[in-house]
Amino acid sequence: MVSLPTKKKNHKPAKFNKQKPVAKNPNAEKPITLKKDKKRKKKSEIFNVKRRKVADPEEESGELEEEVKDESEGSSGEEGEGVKLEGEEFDMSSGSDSDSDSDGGDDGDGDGDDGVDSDGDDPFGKDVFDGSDGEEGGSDLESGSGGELGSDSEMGSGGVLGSDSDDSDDEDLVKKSRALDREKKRVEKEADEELKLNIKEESDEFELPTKEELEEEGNRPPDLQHLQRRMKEIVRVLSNFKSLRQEGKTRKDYIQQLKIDLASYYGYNEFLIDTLVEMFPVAELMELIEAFEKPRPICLRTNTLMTRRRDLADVLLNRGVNLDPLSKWSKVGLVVYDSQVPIGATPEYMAGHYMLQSASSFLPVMALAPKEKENIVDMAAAPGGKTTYIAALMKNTGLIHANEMKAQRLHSLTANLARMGVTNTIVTNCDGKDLPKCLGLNSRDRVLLDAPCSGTGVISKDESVKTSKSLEEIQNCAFLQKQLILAAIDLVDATSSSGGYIVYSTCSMMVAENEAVVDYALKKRNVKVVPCGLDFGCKGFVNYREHQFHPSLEHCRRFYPHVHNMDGFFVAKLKKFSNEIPNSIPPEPAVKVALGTELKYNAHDDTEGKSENGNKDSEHAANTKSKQKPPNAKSKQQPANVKSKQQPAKPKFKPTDSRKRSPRKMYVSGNKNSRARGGKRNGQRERREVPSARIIAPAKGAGNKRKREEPNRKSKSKA
Amino acid sequence: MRTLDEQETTAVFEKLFKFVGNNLKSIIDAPSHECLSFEPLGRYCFRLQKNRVYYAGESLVKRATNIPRDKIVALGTQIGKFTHGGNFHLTIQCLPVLAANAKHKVWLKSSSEMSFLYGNHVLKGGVGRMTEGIEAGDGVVVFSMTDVALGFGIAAKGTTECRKLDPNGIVVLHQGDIGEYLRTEDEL
Repeated sequence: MVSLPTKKKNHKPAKFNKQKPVAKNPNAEKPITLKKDKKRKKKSEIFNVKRRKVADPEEESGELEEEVKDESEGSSGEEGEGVKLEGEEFDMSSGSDSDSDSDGGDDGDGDGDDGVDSDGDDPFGKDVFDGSDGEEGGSDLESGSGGELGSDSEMGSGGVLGSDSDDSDDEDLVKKSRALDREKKRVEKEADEELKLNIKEESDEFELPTKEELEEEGNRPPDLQHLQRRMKEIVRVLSNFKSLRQEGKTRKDYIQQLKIDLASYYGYNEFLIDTLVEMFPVAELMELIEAFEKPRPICLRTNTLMTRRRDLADVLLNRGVNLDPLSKWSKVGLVVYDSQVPIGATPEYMAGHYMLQSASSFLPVMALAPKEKENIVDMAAAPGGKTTYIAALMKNTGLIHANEMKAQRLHSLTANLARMGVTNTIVTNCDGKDLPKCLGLNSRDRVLLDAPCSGTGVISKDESVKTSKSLEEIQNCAFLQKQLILAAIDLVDATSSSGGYIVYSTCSMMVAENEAVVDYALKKRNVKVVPCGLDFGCKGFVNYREHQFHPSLEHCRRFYPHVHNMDGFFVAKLKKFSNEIPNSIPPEPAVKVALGTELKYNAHDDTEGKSENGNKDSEHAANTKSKQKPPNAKSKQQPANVKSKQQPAKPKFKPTDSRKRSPRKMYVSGNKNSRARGGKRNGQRERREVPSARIIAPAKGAGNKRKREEPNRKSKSKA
Repeated sequence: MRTLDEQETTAVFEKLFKFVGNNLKSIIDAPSHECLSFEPLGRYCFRLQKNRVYYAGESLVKRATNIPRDKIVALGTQIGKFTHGGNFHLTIQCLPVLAANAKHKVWLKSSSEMSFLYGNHVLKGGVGRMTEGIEAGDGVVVFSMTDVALGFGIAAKGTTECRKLDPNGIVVLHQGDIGEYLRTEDEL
């Protein structure tokens, strides 16, 4: 009988084969991996490429064929063909498709086969290999089962056609099916073992390269695929660190290796990669860097002074431009996918109907929201995209002051303004920091400061940023930006009926240039952060590493390429609520000011009183003490103590007298305004003046010294 | 920045008159909206800065006086330039002003639009239609068939003469076109 020998034969080859797979395991992966999951396939491919030669998969499929041939009888040619076909299909790497096809084909054949078929594929796929690396085993199984099925079907059909008696065929079939079941179980076991081995191998794979390996890599030209694989593996490990980590390696080691790989694969310098790694979690970081590699879509803005978006879109579509409205947040934006004509040279462009502008550049102007008949300043206006947008929003009413520091960029600014039909603009070539002097303090309704920055948000436009930025440059940029934002704030009139807003924006993602600058402005001027109306952005950072910013900074908005599909951008809107400058008045009550003449006298009296006791040093000490304490407190304390002493001296310190004779007048330019300019000068001079003004003061040495300096200053006081 | 003196003013107005004729009055007397909310509508003024003549509202001009002379670059709309020799030429930036008040217009066919935008003269074959009453030597504003202003020039032939002209005859001598914004941005 055929059945008995087959059983025996099954046993032998089973044992035989058990040994073989163990030896073959390292090699068994490639055909196995050509299964469902492409990801897993890649990993196994990685392993294959690294460790094995291409010849192995072929050997493996051949081995499979052998196994099947050993087990089944007769029509070995057919079976072999069936298996070979299966094997070929696997090798063609459209694993899942071929499997499903073959399985589907198999399912079409006889009932007995169906039963076997249904057992063959999915249960194995799901039961044994739940979300782990065991797909190798799964695929192995499936290939084995598929092979068997193919052979089985052929066998079945062959049997039906060619057999003599049904009984013998049925028996054969039953026995063969049992044999196949046993074979499947055996293959399952083997697959399990391979699974375990594979898991070990894969987790070993995530070993960070040792120093020697790194040196070797350094000597060879960079293998980009290798780097990419390693980066992906590291990201995977980091996402599930506890279970996938290598022993003895900390998170830091992985991140360090990732940084090095990113820098060499994408071409960044160390500084930039370090800052990006600090800012973003690893998965997001990969997305961001990928997004930087691709250009953002070209956008254009309709010039509402001349045309409407609908009409412009019609005209451009007729010319052969493929475009769409930009987003729901913009009523004037259009995004261009492709174009038959050069989009920057159409007659409509030349007539000023639209402006080529990146989507992120719409945002600061939308945040600024200029109203008609307002007085606006654009401090860094070139090439004029934002200025023309402001003019369009204002419908050519009011007044815009467009300033640009670099003379080379002025041409494009004036040309764009003229082209777009803007008539309410004055263009100047001042330094932004000098604008308050030029234009007048506290004189404008709104100011837009699109500050010059390091450009780390527009890497997709300019790849040189990847390598050229260093900490120094960022710090220089931040310094300049801080000065400019203070100038911008000084330009705005807090009491403006419709305005009092400053919008600060950069095309950078560095916290030092964005939140830090706004925080600085909050400390130095009477401004507060208000919502900018761009709710679809990411919130600004309220704290970042060791920095703690004002909580209102969450109203600022950040934009990223990988989230919003526009250039990296930062927008903050500030409202000035008072024209006074805090802290410009030095905390010396004596000197300071404005609180009232009585205070002054009291302060003077106080210092006088103290000076009677001691030296210049004590006077200075008294002065410093008086400076540090709030003036109000001083004045309250002083009268009780001091007045009695000072009565004889009072007449000299009458308001009118002191003003006439006050040396302060001489030293300071004599303008009351000078106080507003900054009290330092006042403070310092007054400090000096106080001892000298005190004719009564015993420290005549000091007074004399001062008096010697006085002749230079046209002193009116008695020497 | 200073006002124009007599000679300069006459030169500018003469040139403008060629294109806009009696509408010159409306150009000069137009109320200016480029003022702030608390200011009444002003008038337009002509100012000279570095040999360039600008046409701007009063409010703009007032505020520009505060700025140091070497820092001002541009103001309102530029009408034209004075050459070294003292002649005045209109430049393309004044096209919106001209187009709004033009007396003589020529509409170009779509096929010859691009040729004009490259700086070539307008040939008879490219003319779609033209206003009646054009004399040789008149200033003409060139439009596309969709009424987009493309530039300006001097009529080489009058309307009646144009009818007899062969298709390659020059109808309008090119003086300025919007293509200059791309071709010669730096020279504007």
